[in-house]
Amino acid sequence: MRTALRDALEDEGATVVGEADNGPAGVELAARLQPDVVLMDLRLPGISGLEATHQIKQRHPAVQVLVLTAYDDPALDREAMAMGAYAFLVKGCEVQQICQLAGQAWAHARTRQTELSLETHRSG
Amino acid sequence: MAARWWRIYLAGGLLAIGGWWLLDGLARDLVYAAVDTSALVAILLAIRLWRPRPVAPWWVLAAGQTANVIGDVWYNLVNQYLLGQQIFPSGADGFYVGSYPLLAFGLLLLVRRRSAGADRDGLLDASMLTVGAAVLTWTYLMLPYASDPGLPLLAKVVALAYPPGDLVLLVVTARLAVGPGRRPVAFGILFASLVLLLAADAAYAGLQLAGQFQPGSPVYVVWMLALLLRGAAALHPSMPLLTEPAPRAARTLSGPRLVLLAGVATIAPAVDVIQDLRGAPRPTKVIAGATVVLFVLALARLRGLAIEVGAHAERQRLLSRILRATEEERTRIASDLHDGPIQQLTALGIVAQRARRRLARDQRSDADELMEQVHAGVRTEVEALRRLMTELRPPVLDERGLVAALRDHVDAFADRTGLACQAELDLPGRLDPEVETVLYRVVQESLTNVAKHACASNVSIHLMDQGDGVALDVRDDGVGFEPARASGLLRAGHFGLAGMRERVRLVGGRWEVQAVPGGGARVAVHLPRQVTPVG
Repeated sequence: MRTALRDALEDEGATVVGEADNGPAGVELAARLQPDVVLMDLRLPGISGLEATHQIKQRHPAVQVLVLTAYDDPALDREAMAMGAYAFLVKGCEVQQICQLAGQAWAHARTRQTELSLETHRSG
Repeated sequence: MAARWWRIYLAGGLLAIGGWWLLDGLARDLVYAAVDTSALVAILLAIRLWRPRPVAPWWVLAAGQTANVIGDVWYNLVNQYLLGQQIFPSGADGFYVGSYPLLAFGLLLLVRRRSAGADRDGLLDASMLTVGAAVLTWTYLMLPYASDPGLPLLAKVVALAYPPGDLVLLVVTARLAVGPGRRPVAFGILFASLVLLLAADAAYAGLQLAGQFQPGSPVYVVWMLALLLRGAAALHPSMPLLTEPAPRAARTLSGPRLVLLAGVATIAPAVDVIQDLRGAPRPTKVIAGATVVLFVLALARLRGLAIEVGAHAERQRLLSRILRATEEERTRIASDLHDGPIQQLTALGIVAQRARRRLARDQRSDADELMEQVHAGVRTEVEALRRLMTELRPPVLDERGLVAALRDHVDAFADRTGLACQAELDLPGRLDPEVETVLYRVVQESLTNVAKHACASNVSIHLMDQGDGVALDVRDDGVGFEPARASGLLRAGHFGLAGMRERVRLVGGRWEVQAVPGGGARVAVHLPRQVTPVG
C-alpha cells in the first residue's frame, strides 16, 4: 500500500521523505523530518492514527496531516478534524484527489510556516 | 375415510350407552358386553390401520382389554345367566384383577417411549403421588376388608387385590400426565378414559363398602364411557403420535406441580389426624413408612434440581465464553480484512489509476507493466479471500457433503502437522445439514486439540452409519489427560471440549471423552440423522 502511494505521489512531483509502519515511529519521524504533509492511516500498531495526528499537530502545528483510512465513518472524520487533521479521505478514492489535497495541504503548510515564523519573530 | 372412524365409533358407542339405559335384563348386559368388546376390536383395528411404532404398548393394552372383556362376560353373562347367581370370588375376578397390571404395563411402555427413558423427574413426581394415593387406598379401601373377620381368606385376598390394581393404574396415569411428549387429540381421549375408569372404580369401591352398590348403577355408564374412549383414542388418526419420543426438556418444578406435591406430602399426616378424630384405626406403620419414602423421594428430586442448577451455571459460563469468542473472532476477521484485502485492493486501485494516467500520456509500456502488477495483485487477493472464506465455512461441506469435507480437512491436517492420519469415513448419502456441521466442527476441534496438546504420532477418525444415527470416533496415541480435568477445563477458559459437548447436545446427540494420562485420548459422538430440538 505504502509503495503504491509513494509511486503515485512521486508521479505527481511530490518528494516522499520518509515512511513509518506504526504510530510512534510516525510521530518520531514527523518530529525528525518536519515534512510539509503527513499521510496518516487510522488503524496503526502502537498508537492510533488519531492519537498520532494529535501528537504531531501539538508539537508541530505547521505540519499538515492528511488522514487516509478504510473507515468511511463521519464520526471519525469529525474526530480527525478535531485532532487537527487537514482532510479526511477514505481509501478507494481517486489518486488524483489524494494528490490534489496533498498539494493544497503543502501550500497551507508553507503559509502556516511563514505565519509561525513571523509570530516567533514578533514575539522575539 | 379411516380418519373419521373414531367419530363414527364414538357416536355409535354413545347410542349404545343410551340403549343400555333404556333396556334391562339380558339385552342390557349384552349391550354392556358389546361396548366392552368394541374397545378391543377398535384397538386391534387401529394397530392394523395406523401401524404405530413401536406396536408393543398397543398389543399389551389389547391383552389387558381382552382380560377385561373375559371378566365382564364371565361376571355379567356366565355367572348371571348360566350359573344363575353372583359368586365372589369367581373366575371373573381373576381376569378383572389381571387386566389392571396389563393395562398399566401397556401405558408404562407408552410413557417410557414418550420420555425416551430420560424423565427421571416425572418418575419421582409420580412416585410421590403414588405414595400419597397408597396411604388413602390402604386406609379407606383395603383396611376395612383386611380387618373384616367375617370375610373368608380367598375373598379377602381377592378383595384386597383390586385397590392395588387401581393404584398401579393411577401411578401410570399420573406418569402420563406429568411426563413429556406430544399431546395430540388421542392423548386427551386416552387420558379422559383413564380418569373416568379410576373415578368409576373409586365410586364402585366406596358404594361396595357402604353396601349401597346396585346392579345397573350409573357407575356402569362411567365404565362404558371409559371403555368407549379407550377404543376411540386408539382409532383416532393421531394415535401413532402417542409413541413419539419427546424432545429432552430442562428439569423444572412448576408452580402447580409444587402445589400438588405439597398436597401429597400432607396426605399421610392428614389421614392420621382424621382417623384419630373419627376414632377409627390409625395405620401408624403405613403412615410412618410413607413419610420416610416421601422424604427420600423429595430429596432425590431436590438433588436433580441441584444438578440442573449446576449444569445451568456451567452453560451460562460457556455461553458467555462463546459470545466473547464470537466477538473476538469477528474482531480478528475485521482486522484481517483491513490489514489484508482492503490495503492490497486500495494499493491495486492506485496502481490501476497510475496505469490509466500512463496511457493518457501514451506511455504504453509503463502502463502495461503497471497493469501486470494489478493482475498479479488481484490473483493474490482472490486467493487470500478464498482462504478466509474456507476458514469461516468450508464450501465443500455444503456442496459435496460431510465425507468430502472431512477428507479435505484431514488431508490438510496431516500435511500441516506431519501426523499419520487414518480416516475411515463410511457414510452413504447426506445427513441433516446441522448434523453435518456439528460432526465437521467436532473433528476440527478434536484435531486442533491433538495438534496443540496430545504430542501424538497417530490419529484415527472413524465415521460410521448406524441406521438411525451416526457414530464418530476420533482417537490419538498421545499423552492423554486426566478425564476429571475435562470439566475443570471450562472454568479455566478452555471451552473447546465443553463447546463440543454443547454442540452435540443441542442436536440431540451423545458425547463422550475418554482419556488416560499417557494412554491417548478418544472423543466419541453419536448423533441422530435428524436434529431433535432440545426444549
